[in-house]
Amino acid sequence: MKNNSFLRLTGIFVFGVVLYAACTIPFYFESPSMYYKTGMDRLMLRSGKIFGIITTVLLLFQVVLASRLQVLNQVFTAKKLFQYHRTNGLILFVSAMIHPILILGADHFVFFPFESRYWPEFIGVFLLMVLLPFVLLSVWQKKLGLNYNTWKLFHKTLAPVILILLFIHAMNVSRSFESGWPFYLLSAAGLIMVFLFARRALP
Amino acid sequence: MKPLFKFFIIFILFFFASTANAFQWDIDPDHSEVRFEVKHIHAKVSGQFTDFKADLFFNPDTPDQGKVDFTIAVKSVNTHNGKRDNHLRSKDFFDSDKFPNMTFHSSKITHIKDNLYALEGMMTIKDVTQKMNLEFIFFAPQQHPFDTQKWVTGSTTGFVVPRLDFHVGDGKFLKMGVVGNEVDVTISIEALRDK
Repeated sequence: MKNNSFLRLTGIFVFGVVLYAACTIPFYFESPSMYYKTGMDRLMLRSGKIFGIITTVLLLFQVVLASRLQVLNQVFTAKKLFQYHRTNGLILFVSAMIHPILILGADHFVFFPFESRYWPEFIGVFLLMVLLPFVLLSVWQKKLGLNYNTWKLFHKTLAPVILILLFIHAMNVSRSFESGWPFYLLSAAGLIMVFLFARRALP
Repeated sequence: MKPLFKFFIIFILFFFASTANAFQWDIDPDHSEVRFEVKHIHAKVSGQFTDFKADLFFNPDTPDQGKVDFTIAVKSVNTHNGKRDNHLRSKDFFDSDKFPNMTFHSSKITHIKDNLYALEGMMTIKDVTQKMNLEFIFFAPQQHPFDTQKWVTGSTTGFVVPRLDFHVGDGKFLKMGVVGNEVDVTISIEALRDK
């Protein structure tokens, strides 16, 4: 029991370190878009980027929490992991909604025109549109009278789509992830996600 | 009702008489460009406004009866950097939601020499309207090589816009030594009209 508490604390600590390290990316790997922002605009842009990164990390943790890894089940119990998955899902949803508000706010809410060169931004918009029913149906599945198996099929089908869209968006929307450590870490996270999904999908 | 009708008739006659001897030209958007260049620390950064339209009435034989009305959609700014372009659209520069267009309305066209003409008019950028004197080259109309039913002409002009005079920026980036005040603008157009 004592050993389990230690492992639980270690797990939470690792999660905290990963989240904190990811949040430092907009400081240590500043994209050129930051140069031209001052005062409140700069604060909003950087915070917006941090919220985007928080959303990404929490989404990756969602997969880890739902992957039924035996070691996690032993340390945290399946029930707790499910609770974390639910809470984490709500937090990342709020974070995902704040992200574009701050990014657009830094440009005084001038929405980029519908041009092909803004495709990474539009992937992000599409991602939010997919995320919204994904989360709402999970929260209100019973209230909406949605059959559990139907919801589960919807959830399991859409989850990899969301992750793929997330990686495409993150890799292309910011210069911070074009090269260097952020690029390698995001790529590594992507490979871990592929492994976790394959592990669940394959017999 | 009667004086109003008279005024309307006179206005219509005056309008058509004023440009009667000037040919109307339609811009060929595929071969016309509005380019600009501005200093960034040491380098010159260039860009374009890709969405613009113009009412062009001009006959080199009667330049005084010509008219040029130019409208540029600010949102179409393109410096080949999407994030920078959105910053240019923001309140820091053009505030394109509030001021979607830049316009130029000519008031006088005179011949200088050869194919060089002087153009006088009012330029409006954001909330500032200023008198501008420009010079432009008008290339003699010729039969279009690919459409024998049309005349094609060309015109080019270059001028400097002091952006801060038009409230394009508050001087913050100039003070920082990042973005210059003088913006070199080049407008190069090809225009067509039926024979």
